[in-house]
Amino acid sequence: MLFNENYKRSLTAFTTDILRGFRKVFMVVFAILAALPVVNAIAIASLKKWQPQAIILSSNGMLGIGFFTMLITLSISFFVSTSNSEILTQFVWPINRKVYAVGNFLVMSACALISVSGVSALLPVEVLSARILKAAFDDLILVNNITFENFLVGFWISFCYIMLFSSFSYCLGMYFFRHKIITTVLLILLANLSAVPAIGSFYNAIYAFIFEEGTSIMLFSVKVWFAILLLHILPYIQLRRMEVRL
Amino acid sequence: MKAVECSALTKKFAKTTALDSLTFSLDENKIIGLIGRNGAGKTTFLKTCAGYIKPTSGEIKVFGEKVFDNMNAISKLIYIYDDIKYNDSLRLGDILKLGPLYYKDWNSDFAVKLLKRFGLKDHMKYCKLSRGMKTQFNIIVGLCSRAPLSLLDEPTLGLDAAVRKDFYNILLNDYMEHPRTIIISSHLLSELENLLEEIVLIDNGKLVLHKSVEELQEYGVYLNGRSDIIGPFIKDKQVLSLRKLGNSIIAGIKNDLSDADRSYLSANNVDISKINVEDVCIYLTRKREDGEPYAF
Amino acid sequence: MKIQPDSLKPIYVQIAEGIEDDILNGILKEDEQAYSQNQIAREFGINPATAAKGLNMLVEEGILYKKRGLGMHVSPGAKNAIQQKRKKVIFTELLNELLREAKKLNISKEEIKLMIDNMEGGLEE
Repeated sequence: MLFNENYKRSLTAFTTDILRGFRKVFMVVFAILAALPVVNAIAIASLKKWQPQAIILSSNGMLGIGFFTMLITLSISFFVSTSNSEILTQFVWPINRKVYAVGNFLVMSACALISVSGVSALLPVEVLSARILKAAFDDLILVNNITFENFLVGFWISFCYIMLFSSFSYCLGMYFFRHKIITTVLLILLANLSAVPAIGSFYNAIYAFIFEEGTSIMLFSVKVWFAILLLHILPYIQLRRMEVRL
Repeated sequence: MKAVECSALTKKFAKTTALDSLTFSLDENKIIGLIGRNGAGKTTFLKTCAGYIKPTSGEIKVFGEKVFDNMNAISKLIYIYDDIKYNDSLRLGDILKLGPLYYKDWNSDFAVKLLKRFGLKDHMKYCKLSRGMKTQFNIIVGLCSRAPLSLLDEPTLGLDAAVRKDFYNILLNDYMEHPRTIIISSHLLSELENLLEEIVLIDNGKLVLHKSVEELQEYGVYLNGRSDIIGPFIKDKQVLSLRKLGNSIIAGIKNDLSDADRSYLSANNVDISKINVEDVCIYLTRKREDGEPYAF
Repeated sequence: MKIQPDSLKPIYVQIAEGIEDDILNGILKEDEQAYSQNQIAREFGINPATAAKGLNMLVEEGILYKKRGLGMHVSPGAKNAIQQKRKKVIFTELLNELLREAKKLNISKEEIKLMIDNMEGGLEE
C-alpha cells in the first residue's frame, strides 16, 4: 500500500495542498515577529531620552516569543482543521483516510520545522537592532546567552514541543467535533479532578515524567515522539469509521 | 469491466432506509441518467458510489474494486454536487492548480478555456461567487478532471436555460473527445433525454428500472387531438399522462396501438408522436400505498 | 438532414433516413465518406451511441460500409438500393392502406383487380 501509485500521488497532492494553505499564515506571523525587535528598538531609543538608567536588552528574546506564537498558532489551526466542514473541504479531492492521517502528520512536522527555522532565521534581525542600539547608547547592557550548542538543543526541543502540542490539538479536535458533549464533559471532569490530592499529584507525576528536562535529550526525544505518535494513532482510529458528511 | 457494480446495496440512516437492496451494473464509457423524485435516494447513491459513505449492507464496486476508503477506486472518480465547499479564501486559480496534483488526467488548458467561456476569473474567491457561478465552476472542475467515472449530482441547479444548453454541448463534446463514464442525476430529464444512453430510475431507494433511453421512448406515445375523439378512445387504455388545452388533449398512452387504431386516429386528425421519457418515469414512480415500484 | 424531436420515429431511425435522403440527393456520393457518429452527435446534440445506432442500421442494410481507419463510406450502388427499398416500403404501405379502405367500403379483391385493369395509364402486362 505504501508504494501504491495512486496513494503516493494523493499523499503528495494533499500535503502540497495543505502546506500552500499555511503559506499566508506563516507570512503574516513572521512579518509580525520580524517587526517586533524593530518596534522594540524604536521604543527603547525614545525611552532613553527620558530614562537615563541602564537598560538590559536581550538579543535573543525573539526565540522565546516566536516559539510561543507559533505553538499557539499551529495548535489552533490543527484543532480547527478537524471540524466536519473542514474535513469535507478536503475529501472533495480524491483522498482516503490513510492519506489524511499520514498527510497531516507530514504537514505538522513540516510546519513545526518551518516555524522553528523561520524564527531562528529572524534572529539576526533582533541581533542587528540590538547591536545598533548598543552602538548608539553605550550604557545599554546586552545579554546574549546563546551558544551554538544550546541553540541546537533549543531548536530541537522547540520543534518537539510544537509537534507535541499540535498533535494534541489535532487529536483533541478529531474527537471533540465528533463527540462534542462527551469530550467537553470529560475534559472538565479531568480538570476538576486535579483538585483531589491523589489525582492531582498523579497529574504532576505524568507532567514531570514527560517534560522533565535535565535528563538526556535522547530520553526526552523518545518520550515525546512516543507521545506524538500516539496522538496521531488515536485520531486515526476515530477517522477510520468516519463517513464524510456535514 | 463494469464501471459501477452494486449488489443488494443498502444504506440505512437512523429512521429511514435511503437505499434498499439496489442491484445493477453500469458499463464503461456511457452517459447514464440517474432519475428519481426528491428523496428517492439519488444523492445517497452517488455519495456511496463516491466513497463518502459506507453501505449498511451489500456492496458497491467501482472498476472492480470496493470504493470506501480505497485509493484505487477513489483516484478514478470525481463527485460534483451542489454547494461544494473549498477552503475559505481560496481563489478559483488556486483550486484549479490543485486539480493536476490530484488527478492524473486533469487538463488545465480545458480549464482555462471553460473559465473564459463562463466569464469567471482566476482571482475570484470561490466563497464570494453567486450560486450559479459556483455551479459553473464545479462543472469546470468536474469536466477538467477527465476522471474515468464522473458523478454529476444535479449539475444544472441555478443555471438559466441558455447556460444549461451550453453545458450540455460542452459535456457532449468533451465526452466524445475523451470517452468516460458519466452519471448525471437530474430533475430536468426532458432536456437531458437526448444526451443519455441509459437511464437508472429509482424510487424510495429501490430500483425501478435500468433501461436504454430508446426502450423507454418506445414505451408510450402521445396522442394529440380533439378531446371528444381522444377522450373515449383512451377509456380502456393505460394512460400515462394527460394534458388538456382548451378543446384538445395530449394523452400519453402505452405503445400498443394496433394498425386499426392508427388508421382511426389519423382519420380523425389525431397526431401521434414519441412520448417524453420524463412522463414515462413520472408515471412509473407515482405514489403507491405499499411502496413497491410499478413494473415496467 | 433534419431531426424532429416530436416525430414518432426514434431518433436513430430519423438519422438513418436523413443519411439516405442525402445519398439520394447526391449530397453524399458513392464510395466517398459519409458522416461520422461524432459529427452527427455534435450537430444534433445527441448521444453518439444514438448516432452510431442509425449508422449501424445502414451498415447492416449494406448502404454504408466501414473503411478501416477512415470511417463510414457510402457503398457502391447505395442509391439504387435505397430507391428499391423505398419503393418496396412505400408501395407496401400504400397497398395496405388500399386494402384497409377496401375492407371498409366492402370492395372485393376481384373488384380491385377490375379497377386496376380499367385504370388509365395502367400497369404494363
